[in-house]
Amino acid sequence: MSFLARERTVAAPGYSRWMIPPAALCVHLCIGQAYAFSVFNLPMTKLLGISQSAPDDWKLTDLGWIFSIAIFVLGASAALFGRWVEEGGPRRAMFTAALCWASGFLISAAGVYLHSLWVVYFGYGFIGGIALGIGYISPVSTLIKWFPDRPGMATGMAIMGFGGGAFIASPLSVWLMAHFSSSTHVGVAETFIVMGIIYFCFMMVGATIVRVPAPGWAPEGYVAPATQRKLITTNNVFVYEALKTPQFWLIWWVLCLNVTAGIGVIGQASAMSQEMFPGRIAAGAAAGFVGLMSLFNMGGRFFWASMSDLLGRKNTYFIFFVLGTVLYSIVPFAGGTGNIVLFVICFLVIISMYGGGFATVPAYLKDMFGTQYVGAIHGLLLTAWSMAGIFGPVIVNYMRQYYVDHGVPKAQAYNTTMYVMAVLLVVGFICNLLVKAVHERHHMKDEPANQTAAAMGAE
Amino acid sequence: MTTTSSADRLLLDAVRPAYVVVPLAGLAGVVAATIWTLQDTAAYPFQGLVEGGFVEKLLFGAGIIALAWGLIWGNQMERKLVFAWGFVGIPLALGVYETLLNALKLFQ
Repeated sequence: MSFLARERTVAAPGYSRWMIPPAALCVHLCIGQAYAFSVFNLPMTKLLGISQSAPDDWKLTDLGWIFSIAIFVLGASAALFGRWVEEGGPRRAMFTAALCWASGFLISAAGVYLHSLWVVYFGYGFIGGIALGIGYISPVSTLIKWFPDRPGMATGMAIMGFGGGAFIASPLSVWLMAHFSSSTHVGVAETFIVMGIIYFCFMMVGATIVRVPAPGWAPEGYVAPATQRKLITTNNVFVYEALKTPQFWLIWWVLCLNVTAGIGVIGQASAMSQEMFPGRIAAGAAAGFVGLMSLFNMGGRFFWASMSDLLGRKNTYFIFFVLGTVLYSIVPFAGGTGNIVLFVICFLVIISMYGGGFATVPAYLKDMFGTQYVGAIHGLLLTAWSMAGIFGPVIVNYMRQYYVDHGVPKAQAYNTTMYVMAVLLVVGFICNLLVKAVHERHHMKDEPANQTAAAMGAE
Repeated sequence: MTTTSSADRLLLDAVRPAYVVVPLAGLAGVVAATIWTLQDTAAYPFQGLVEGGFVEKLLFGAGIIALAWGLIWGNQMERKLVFAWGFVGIPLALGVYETLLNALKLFQ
């Protein structure tokens, strides 16, 4: 299909690069629905019983695997298809992501209709997970090429969309389920079908308007810095060559540790706030706290990534690790003194840095490995996310349970966990400190016009 | 990081900023006024707006004018930018508004 070919997406003169962030947002706002999948969990435990769970209804623990599979496949597919995404251009990748995302919903609708959980695992978890992986990395390198002067801000805008997708999906899902529910069924299958169609259309708008810059294009008036900064390369590193560099693995740990520290408390924020302030934070206020955390997660993606253009990527991560360590160490004090405001502020800042870590890393990779394969390298790096998705919740949940089982009051059961998170961030600080410029032996030799031609020829 | 970047220059790529920012602000005003006056029990569309106060009507009217001004006098790329940003901005803003509202309600 020539419409999808990279050469068909080269921007004509006069095209504004400010069309690219909305194109990227069209994809990220849709796949960001994954964060709101939990709104389907309770209704999906009542598919047979309708008003309450029947014995043959699915269990919450089984349904939890849908999201876990999707996030695992996200990391795997981003790593696996990264080079294909990079070389085929953003439109082909966005189209594929749209097709997989919509198919995932439609297959899941069939799974709900047939009451086969394995079909839902395959639909949303596997096919939808592929869409998440491809969709997540699809606009990254395009944005970096369009915004050489503000790569952090540009990718921050797109990745902010992934955090913001849940804000749209959550009320939309609830409204659709309420619309389709009746006395005989809960309306999940119909909701999946409608959402699949809506998301496909929305993502196709992004695929249609996205463009890659013409070779040699630069923003009007843009002059590359005269003095080369040590940690910003003008060379490129081939995607699989990056795996041989210590920088890749150091940044992998930087992301993994930053995400581990944040993801653990995201899942437990509601329970933690209620248990640390018994009788003072009720379930309703805790839900409001979780909502605020989501807003800061989204806002932090844009804010910190934009700040990284001014501060530098390494310095931005230094702030995450130093400030994060201090804030995690303060949380037990806030709990002990009953200072709710301090507790809320600490977690809102922490969660903004969790989002900021995701949004800043593409520009960090661009600084280290160049723009040529940054999307593909970013895909490989997302395996750190999959790993952190296991580490974070396990640390928080199991440590809390251990202390509760050993007679520690629930209000204090999280204290040691907070200190462990602070230590993890200290380790992250050291990893970040060790990041130096990539050795020139890893640089691609045929620079840069030949590479593009080679990449195009490889299609 | 570059030595020549500035917020001003960022907005000057192939478009005149005012022809994008003003209609988008207008669009935001129209959407805000519509939400502000939205009633679940409205007997006819936009009942709340029609029967609403001066501020809501001013916001809606000024928004329409700003949007129309940009769409009529802007060039093709500027119009595309308004549509593209409006397309992603409206659902995102509505979602954030809804979440913020729920969060504040729950805290109360």
